Amino acid sequence: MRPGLLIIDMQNDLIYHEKRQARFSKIISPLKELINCAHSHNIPIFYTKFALDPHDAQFKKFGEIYCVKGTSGCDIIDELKPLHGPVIEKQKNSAFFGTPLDRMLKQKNVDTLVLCGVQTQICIMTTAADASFREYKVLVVEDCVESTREDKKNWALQWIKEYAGNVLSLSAILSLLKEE
Amino acid sequence: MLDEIILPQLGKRNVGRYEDSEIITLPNNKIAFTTDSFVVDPIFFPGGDIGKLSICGTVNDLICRGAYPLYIAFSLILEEGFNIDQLSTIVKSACNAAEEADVYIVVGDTKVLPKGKLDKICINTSGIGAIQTNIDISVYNAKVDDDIIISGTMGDHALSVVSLREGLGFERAVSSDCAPLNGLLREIIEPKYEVHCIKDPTRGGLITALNEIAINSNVGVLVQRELIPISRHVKAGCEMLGLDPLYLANEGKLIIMSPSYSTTHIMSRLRLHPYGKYAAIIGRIVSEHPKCVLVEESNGIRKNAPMLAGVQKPRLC
Repeated sequence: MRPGLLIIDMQNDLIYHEKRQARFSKIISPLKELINCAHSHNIPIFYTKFALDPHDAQFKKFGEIYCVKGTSGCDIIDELKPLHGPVIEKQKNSAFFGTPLDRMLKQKNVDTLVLCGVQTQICIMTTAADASFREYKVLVVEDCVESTREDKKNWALQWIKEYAGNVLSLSAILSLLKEE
Repeated sequence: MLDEIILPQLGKRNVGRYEDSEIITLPNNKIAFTTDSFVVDPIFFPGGDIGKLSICGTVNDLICRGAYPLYIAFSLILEEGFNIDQLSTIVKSACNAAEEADVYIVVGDTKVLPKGKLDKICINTSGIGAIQTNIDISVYNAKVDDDIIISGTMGDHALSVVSLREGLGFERAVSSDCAPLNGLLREIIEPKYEVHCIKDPTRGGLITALNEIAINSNVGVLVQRELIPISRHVKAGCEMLGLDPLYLANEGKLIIMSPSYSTTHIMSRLRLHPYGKYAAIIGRIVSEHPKCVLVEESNGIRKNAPMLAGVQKPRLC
């Protein structure tokens, strides 16, 4: 197994949104533990962030504006700094869509993608699907992903187990990463 | 544009001679005539593009009346500044589809609208096909006890397009099924085997098409969901997005209704054809609940499946 860690959309506008902060901020501490483990074992680390134009069509759909390119809301949260890998800007849900992620993973010889971040039922799920279609093995870290609602998170994790990969606890992933 | 891009790409599939109208000779007096307009976003998708879609859609509409497609009128409406290389690719795709369908593009037109007045490109087509005199295939002709056959898996085109548009990741695993199906028609039309009804389940999917047949033929339709072939990737995508694959558009599939004595022949011929290898019998026409479509779920419960009103919107939130 040649893992790569992908931290999805841990951005100020998304994590510190008033309706989501209580749930989303809970994964920061386990995420830091995961990142530190990957970094200390020289496992490639990548970050994604939504970097949207001010008039992106998503804003009309969801009724709010977020992660506009060049704003502080678009930045990765301070708690995860210093960053230990490149930040890939994306405009769609899947981290692969219109980004150099696939090429970057191949350059690092990654065959297993470890996913964490937000939201489980949107960007995590679509990235897991896309990764599996590109023949990456997919591992989602259950304690390091979050959704606006518990039922949405559980449903998404079930979908990922059915169609795209495996869902493991943080402790199980840490054991795996330490073996590599 | 005509001389430098469109005509060179159409090649031998264009037999028009630059007249205001083209004179064509038809093989017999019974012809089918259809028209359609095509807009799609994105205009290029896995398995095709709007050019291929326009020819296949027109050809398949003719097939649904048992007609062998012959000639197509092909008109392009472009937004000012439309990319010339993309236009060339689209016209070439249309030509390739015409080649596969063995149809000729005899007349056409181009118009350019000011920037902002059109979303890139729209294609309008009309098509003519010839029907053998003893053939009477119609959505008004479905009969009680007819078997309902579909020529392959459902939902591939729509999921591929939605996935590409929204950046969902499925476009690598699911391609549009866009294809001209006159080869399939040749396999199943024989004088001794009746076919009552053919329909292509495009916008609104299988269920909408079945409703149209049920209403027009004044019959009931009963299908079993677990008999309807759906690829694993389409199933996964639909579960992700909260879509019902039975309402998703297809661009290379046929629904066929035939009396049971014809069904074995039709099924064996379909399955030998590349576009029909996943053909399946999914239900039958019944006398109960006329003008209604019922879908029997895996638990045996039968649910009314009405026509799709509007468009299924993918849910990802």
